[in-house]
Amino acid sequence: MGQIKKTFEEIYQEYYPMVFQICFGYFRGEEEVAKDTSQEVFIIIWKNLKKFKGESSIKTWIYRITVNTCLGQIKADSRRKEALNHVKRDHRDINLDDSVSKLYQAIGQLNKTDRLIIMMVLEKEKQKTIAEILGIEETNLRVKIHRIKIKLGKILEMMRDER
Amino acid sequence: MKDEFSELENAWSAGQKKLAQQQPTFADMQQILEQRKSASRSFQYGTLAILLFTLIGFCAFFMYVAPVKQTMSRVGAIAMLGGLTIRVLLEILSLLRLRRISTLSNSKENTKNSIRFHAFRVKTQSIYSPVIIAVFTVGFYLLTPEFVDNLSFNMVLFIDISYLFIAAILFYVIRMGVKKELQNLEEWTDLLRELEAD
Repeated sequence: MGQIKKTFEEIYQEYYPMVFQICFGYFRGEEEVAKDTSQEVFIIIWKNLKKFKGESSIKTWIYRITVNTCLGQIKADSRRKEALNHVKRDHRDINLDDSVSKLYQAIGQLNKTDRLIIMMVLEKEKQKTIAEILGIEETNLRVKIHRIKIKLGKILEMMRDER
Repeated sequence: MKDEFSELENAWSAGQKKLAQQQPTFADMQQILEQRKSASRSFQYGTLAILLFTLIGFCAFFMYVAPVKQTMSRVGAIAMLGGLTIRVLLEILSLLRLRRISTLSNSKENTKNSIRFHAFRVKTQSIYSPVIIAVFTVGFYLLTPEFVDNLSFNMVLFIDISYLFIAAILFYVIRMGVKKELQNLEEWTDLLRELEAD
């Protein structure tokens, strides 16, 4: 138990920011939902840490749990379809730089799976790993990433024009 | 395009450092985890507990308070208890299906399992539950003649009319449940479509 707790603490210290950022981006800057979901992720990690066999890296394993937990919060996400308005407010609470805040706002305008894919790409995760996490073909993922990058670029461009 | 994306990667990395300042201490997190673990358990088993409690209540009622003697009343009691037992079994089956949804599997598999679970919930709520309530209701009214022999007519009339209100509320709750489950099913199906699209 002591060793598991120590490993869990190390995982928590190292990966909480990554988990929280993915949840924060997925839930369009809704800090409270992102916090709740991050906690949910760590409950699952704690419950299943003994089952982790090291078939993938611990980071990939945590990604998989984070992605599935975010997708599982379907109701929370739907209730917040109009939450794009909150994005600015919440980002001000956390006091993010303008470029970072704009990036979250732009990501928030993508659809659910696109949001998760682009966040893993921004984390510099390998395409093979992302495809495994999502359970889709790598070729399919490549097409998706290309399309998402174009879409994200257009959104950011529109945001710049609006200023 | 590549340079532009590198800028986004830098912004993302900077954002993570900023968000890391929000990280609760490990001691705080441990406390939160303990609280949430028990909350999630009670939520999952809540419906099953209520149904079991109701079933035990009715069993005790027919065994100790009103052990019915007439054949028609016995058929009624069996219909009520049988209906409730089937509903309890359906709830157990539903919990078993819920357990099959594993966040440790890949997203596509997880989504497919969630679709199966919600499809089962829709079937339970829209088909099995109304049938169970109907059987339960018939069973309930089959008790009326024997109750009339033992209670005042006005009292039996009051019970029978009150039951209509309870049944109406139950149907309303089921209808809302179906609506909610259909919405969940639709959203999971959309998600699967998103995942499978190019």
